[in-house]
Amino acid sequence: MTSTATSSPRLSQAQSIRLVRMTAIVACAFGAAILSWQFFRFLVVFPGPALLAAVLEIPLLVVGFVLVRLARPLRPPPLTWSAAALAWGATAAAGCALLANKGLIGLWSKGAGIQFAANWSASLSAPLNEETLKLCGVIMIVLAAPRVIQGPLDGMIIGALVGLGFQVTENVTYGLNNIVLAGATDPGRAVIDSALIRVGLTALGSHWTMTAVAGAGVGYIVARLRGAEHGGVLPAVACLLTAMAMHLLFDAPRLAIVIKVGVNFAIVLVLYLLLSNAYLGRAHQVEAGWTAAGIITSDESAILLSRWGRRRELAGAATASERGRLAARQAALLTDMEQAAA
Amino acid sequence: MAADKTAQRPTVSATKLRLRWLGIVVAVMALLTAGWPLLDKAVADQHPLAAGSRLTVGASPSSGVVTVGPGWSLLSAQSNPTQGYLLQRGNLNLSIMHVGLVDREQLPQMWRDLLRLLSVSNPGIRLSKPAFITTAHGLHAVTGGVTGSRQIGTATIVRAPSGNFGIEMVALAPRRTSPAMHAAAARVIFSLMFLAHGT
Repeated sequence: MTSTATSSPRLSQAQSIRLVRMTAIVACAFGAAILSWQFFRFLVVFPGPALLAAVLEIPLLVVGFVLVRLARPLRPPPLTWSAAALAWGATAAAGCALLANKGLIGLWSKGAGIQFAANWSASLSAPLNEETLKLCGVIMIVLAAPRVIQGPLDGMIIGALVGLGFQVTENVTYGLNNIVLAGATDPGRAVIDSALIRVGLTALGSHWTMTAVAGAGVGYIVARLRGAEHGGVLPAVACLLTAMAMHLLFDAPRLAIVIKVGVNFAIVLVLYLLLSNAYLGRAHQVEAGWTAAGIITSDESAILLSRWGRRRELAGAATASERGRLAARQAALLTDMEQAAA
Repeated sequence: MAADKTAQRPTVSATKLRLRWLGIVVAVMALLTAGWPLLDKAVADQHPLAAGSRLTVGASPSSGVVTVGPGWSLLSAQSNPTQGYLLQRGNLNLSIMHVGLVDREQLPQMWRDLLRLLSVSNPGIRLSKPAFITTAHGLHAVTGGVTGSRQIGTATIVRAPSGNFGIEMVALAPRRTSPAMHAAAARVIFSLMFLAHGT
């Protein structure tokens, strides 16, 4: 692919974006094929429990998807790219991680012995493989849809969605693997037990938190490329290393799961509060500037940064055409505002 | 013209940057996805075990111990002390799996479940009618023949006296493998003991 980059200087921007999107689709198809190849037989031999394993993840998928998108101030990221981020995590990243982890864990077993590998191979392999593969999804979104991630907070939201997709697929595979660990004696119960732990107990501090932090790092790089003061490579590297450390902690043996979940959730919460406060601070500055310059009216200024205010304004429109005009005006202002605030 | 060139410059540079990053992403993904498995394949997996070596399977207090005879190797990439081992002697593979029992299942049901479990990775595999036996160590077990598309062997399940877990052992080898090889596997299988606190 690098040679493509250097030997295709005449590729237009639209063509290059199309190439990125096609590559992403191929990667997702490849990941899905790996997962199917690995787990299809479970669907044949244990059809009920295999479907149950997938169904039990639906609440996490739906609630997580809605909440993460709502966490973006002003308005959620575009639905298409939110779904694309989720799909990357669930297929491309999860499928490739399956092969990568198997290889690296095998090397740990051979090199450091099976006892060491039993304790540490997951925590030494997954942070490197999985965080990198999930991060590739955030980068692909930047390349495929340049306006979606304009700063660290956008990167954090998209990263969380990639991580959520990965988490859901991983939970399903853990459920299926639990059938094996229980000797297939009660496949339904094995799947439910696994889901209870992974949805009910560890979900709050799992993959979505790690990739949210790493994704914020991608946002810092995008912000730097856009010339923003708060962008930079150093915070990006720090975010990736923090995400890997969170993953290592999460997989490490001999530490209470409640502590692991609590630490990861606290890290992502603090980072989110810092980033969203800074984001909203910049948004308020821009809004004040626009009001002073007469770009927006004082009425618009009062509602622009509030979801409820904007909705109230639309609800108060006398006609459908006026509502459409107001919605278009709001969308245009928000697009500019997001660009400025990011 | 000058204005046109200036306007085009950021677009061209953004395209190059996009393609460069796309190349990096694809290269990194290929490196991780193909690189680790290839490196893993390149490193030998067989670790010879000394005759008389004892392998503990499962985590205390739910664990059992088997003793291997001469000529056995451990396939470490497919072994995990808490979950199970894959041993090899010549072209015979012996898998020793620890299974947790959620409802204190009994041996006949475990035998039926084992068939379903084996058929996940071996479509078409068959188990013979099981025989209920008591091992030299006084453990209740069930054993019988396994027939796959290219391999045959035996499967044995020993349930821990506590009823919380069991050890499932499957020895498989190509059809013309000598009976001595299968006998060596049987010696490992029937060496199984449960630690006192696991009973």
